[in-house]
Amino acid sequence: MRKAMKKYWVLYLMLVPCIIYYILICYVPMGGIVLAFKDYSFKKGIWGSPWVGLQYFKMFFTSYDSQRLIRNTLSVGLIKCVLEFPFAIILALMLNELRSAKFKKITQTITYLPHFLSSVIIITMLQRILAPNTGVLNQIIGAMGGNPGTFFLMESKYFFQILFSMDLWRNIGWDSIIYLAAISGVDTALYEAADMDGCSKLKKMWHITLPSIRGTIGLLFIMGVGGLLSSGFEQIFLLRTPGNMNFADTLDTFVVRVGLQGGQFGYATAIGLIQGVVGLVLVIICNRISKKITEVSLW
Amino acid sequence: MKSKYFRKWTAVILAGIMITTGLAACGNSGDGTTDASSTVNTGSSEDTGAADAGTAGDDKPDTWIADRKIVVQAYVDDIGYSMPDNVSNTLVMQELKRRTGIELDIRYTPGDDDASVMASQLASGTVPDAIISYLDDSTRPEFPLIIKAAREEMFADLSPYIADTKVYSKYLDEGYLKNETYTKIFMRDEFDGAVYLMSLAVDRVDRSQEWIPESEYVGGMYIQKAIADDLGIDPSSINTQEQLYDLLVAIKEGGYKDANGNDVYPLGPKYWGGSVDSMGFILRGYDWVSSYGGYNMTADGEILHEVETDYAMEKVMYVRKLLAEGLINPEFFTMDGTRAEEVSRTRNSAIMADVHNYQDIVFETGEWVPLGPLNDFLGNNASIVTGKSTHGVWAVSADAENPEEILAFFDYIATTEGQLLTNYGIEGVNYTMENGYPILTDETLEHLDNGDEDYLVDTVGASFGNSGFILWSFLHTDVDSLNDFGESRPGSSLSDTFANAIKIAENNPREKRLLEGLKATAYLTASELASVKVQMDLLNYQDTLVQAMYASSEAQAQQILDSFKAQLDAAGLADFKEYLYQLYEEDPKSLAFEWE
Amino acid sequence: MNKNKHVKANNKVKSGLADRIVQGIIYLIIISLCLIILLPCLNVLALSFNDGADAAKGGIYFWPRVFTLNNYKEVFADGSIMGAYGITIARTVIGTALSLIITSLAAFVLKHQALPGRKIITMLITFTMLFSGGMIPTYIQYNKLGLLNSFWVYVIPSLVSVTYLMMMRTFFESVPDSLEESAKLDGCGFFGIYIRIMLPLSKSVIAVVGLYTAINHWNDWFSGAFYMNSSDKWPVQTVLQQMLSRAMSSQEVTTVGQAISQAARSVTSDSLKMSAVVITTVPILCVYPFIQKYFAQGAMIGAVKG
Repeated sequence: MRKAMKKYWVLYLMLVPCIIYYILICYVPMGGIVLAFKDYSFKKGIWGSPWVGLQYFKMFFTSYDSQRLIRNTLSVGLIKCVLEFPFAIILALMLNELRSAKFKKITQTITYLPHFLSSVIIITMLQRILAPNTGVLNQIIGAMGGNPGTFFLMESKYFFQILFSMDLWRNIGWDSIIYLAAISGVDTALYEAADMDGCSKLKKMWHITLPSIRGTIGLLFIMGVGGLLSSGFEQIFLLRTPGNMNFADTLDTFVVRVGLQGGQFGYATAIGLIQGVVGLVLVIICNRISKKITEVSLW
Repeated sequence: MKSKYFRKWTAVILAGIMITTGLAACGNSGDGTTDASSTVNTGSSEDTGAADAGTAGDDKPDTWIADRKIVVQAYVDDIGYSMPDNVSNTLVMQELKRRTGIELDIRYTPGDDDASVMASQLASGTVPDAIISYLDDSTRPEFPLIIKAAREEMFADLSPYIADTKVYSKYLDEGYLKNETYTKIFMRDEFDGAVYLMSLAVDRVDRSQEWIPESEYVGGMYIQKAIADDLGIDPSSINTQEQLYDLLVAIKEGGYKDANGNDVYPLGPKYWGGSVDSMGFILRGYDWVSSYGGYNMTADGEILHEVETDYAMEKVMYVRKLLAEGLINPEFFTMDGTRAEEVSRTRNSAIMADVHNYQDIVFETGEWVPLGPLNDFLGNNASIVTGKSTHGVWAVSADAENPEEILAFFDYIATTEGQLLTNYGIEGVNYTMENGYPILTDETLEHLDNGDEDYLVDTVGASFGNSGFILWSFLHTDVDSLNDFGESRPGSSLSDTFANAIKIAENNPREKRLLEGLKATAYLTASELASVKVQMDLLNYQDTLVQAMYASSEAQAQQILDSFKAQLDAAGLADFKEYLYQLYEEDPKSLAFEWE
Repeated sequence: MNKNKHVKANNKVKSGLADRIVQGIIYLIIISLCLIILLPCLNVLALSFNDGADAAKGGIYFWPRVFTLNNYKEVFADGSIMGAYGITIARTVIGTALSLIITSLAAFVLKHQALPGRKIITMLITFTMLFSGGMIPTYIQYNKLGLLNSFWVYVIPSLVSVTYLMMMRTFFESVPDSLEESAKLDGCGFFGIYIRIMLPLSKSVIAVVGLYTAINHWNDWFSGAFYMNSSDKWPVQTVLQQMLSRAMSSQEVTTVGQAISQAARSVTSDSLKMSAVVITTVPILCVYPFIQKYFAQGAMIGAVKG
């Protein structure tokens, strides 16, 4: 194998900046994970601080909240990665069918607009829309004969639906960009052949377009899961009210409350470690699934 | 092709990565890298810690301290938001440098919030010469961080130098600082006489139980004057929860409309946005101990959390009734600031739950008058005061050179002369002395009235009360503005802007009474209670109450309260109570407990 | 591209009608979606052009009631915004360029299946996506590297993203090996292959990754807020964040002085905030239409066959 490495020495050289980056920026701080097992002292630093073993993990898992937090984190993650996921593809498929290029461009630009608005603005708008009696949604309900007094943000049963809608609104256009690009790369000869056979639009989408972009879908799916755990803590934080706080509380928001502000660095790092482990398991599973279905995988 | 060589090389590469990682990370991550770029003291002798320099002066003023720079990190967003573009160029800073030789490099990092930034910087040892932080009392979120840093000797011990200062030496006098500030912040038992934290904004004389209209703000519920007059009630006579309820009903029945023609909500949210802390004003009669429902002692000597008493449910039922009868805005607790301001300005709220007389909607329009206040659970109308308050704290880094110079500098800012310079600006330019009191010049007064930040902050750089560069007013202590300067804030005796606000204070005097001791949760910072604190910090009683108020049924509301009690138990309530009993036995005055 | 003539076939009538219905539904959904998205954005725009004091009374929906350019004037007159724009543009350009170079190099290297250690390196890289030391160790490391308070803290920490790296790698994998083989026969080294063959073919993926990276740079407010001590080095998003969150914080008030400063703080009108939002968002919105043609051209991931 020495021969192989000599043969590829140029490649290794080209890889060097990337490796340096990962070591310095990712792996060195990752050493800080040991904080999860230590009682951090400012003066002694990460490596000098005393070990406390699994104390924080015990504390977390025996606390009243742990199950609820894990359940919420997984729910939010699933909503964002699994539920939202097909919609961007569908939108891309639909946009692809538009005949006028100009119309297509305009609608695309409109659909990805929300991605750029900061969460704070969106939540403010959402508060107005969902307000009891005065909000647009309730006014529509009232006009249709229903009860206009529902306080959506205060009722926990609506939380996930609200979160889902808001996130979908925000991301659907943006996520569809890549899919659309992939779709537009599909060989048109395939479509023409399908036309010869008298295929309907829907059939074409299902049998030609989708399989052709399988690779893209697979890749983005896995990557999406990887980002599951940094799942928009800010949004949840801003949507939180005493009414829905049972659900609007995830490991992320927990870490912020406990960690930096409370000075409990060790505890917060332990939670972060738990999050990471959960994420790792999910990514491994998804990688395997993706390999089977789309033949694209990370490793 | 997998071969021995391949595996060997892979192993070597991996090992290399691990070792490099390990080595790199094994550095002294607790490196305190301070930026104290102090130049060598140029010759003139100075006593350690004295605000007056020693003899050798040549042309150096008496107030000379040293020729150096002090780097200060402020974890105070008020300071960050009022920062001049270039601090060294401000008139005040230049004059300070002339008088003391010190130049200040003041920094602010916004982050998510001040406590997080402090945590990051303390943890990574990037603390400069000195830090400033909010700290009203030991229950503030910053306190655990600050105490942790103090315990780990990140700060310099200033005790050897305090006696030589002009102002801070007063802190050593008995009774100057209120008990809580003295024992929990300034001179903690565990430090054996060492002093790390210096409190700020302490009044020279304890006037906390007096009512002085020029320096009082009237906060709490405010009702539309028009409605109060129409109903023929005297707002200050609404003192019980029943009276409040009747008033709300009367307002609803009166059919009042707002500026857009919609029905008013009798009770609307706080002016700056819906919040759970407004409960303190509207539910005061049910607060079992006048500090937002926490722990108190029954007449039989049993320590309980409010949720274990009937008061919790009474609060919940009261608000549920208001909600059911349409007497309160449903978004009372959650409305964002912008909309809350809207409903206030359009007069959609008949009563604002919380605002004060220095908010423009109150003193400019004259449409709102104070309502109440409500009596507390013991029937007292007076508000609780705890003695001299403090607002901030500062500390010197253990790695700073010559900490006594830094102490001397802060000490100078706190002297009357220093307060005059940093609050009023430059004599002759911003003010003139008449009969021993500073009077702002017309030009400065005009800038002040117009809120002209460019001039006040960037050019002059004085604090002008809290209208300029807030750093200085934050650093003031031993404060007695009415006596020293003839007015409570620069320009207040001259300007009309707040005349109405002062009038409101004059017309609505409020009683005060002293209650010594801290709320029980202040003691969670004791080291024995560390793991209890971690758990308890996550439980939010106020939010739970609101959750119960919006529950779908009374039974569910009760269940929510019960579940909160269970969470408290799981967090270590028993241990905490044991600690409190012991504490109470040793010194009953340390806890703010009251009973019928 | 998909403008097909419907070839007559047995079930042409049925499929023709079905297709038209589907097409109709598609148009309906897309237009509704656009409305749902556009209307709130119009609200933001309307507020930004409306007078602040008037806006505080509420009731502005899609059109300003009291039109004014004052909000924009005020935002632009605020010196810190223009400086911040400079920082944002600088970091976006430099950061994106560097990212693209390093990422594409790495992606190219990793596409070679025969490279010894490839699988392990890939796993190690992917690993970083899930685990991190957390806020404090990261802060400590940046301090050690001298990144705090320096412009480079905007560029260096985000140089390589696992997602984009994998995207590029997958794209490179779809380029036929025969191209590379023939280049080698002509005497090209790996680096030459990279420059002369890979890069020219990858315009679309470079456009995508470049755009995404640029937008991440543009939108990042966090770095400026936590890692910069002096506000003159803040990018525009941090300045905006401060403006928005300033009015939201509620400090305890115990003296008249504090009451006054609290009152002053709450006065940043909604309109002012909205105009700040608009001017920080609009520039980046304009970029996509220009880049779009690169997206459309060329093969994308997994779509090229042989």
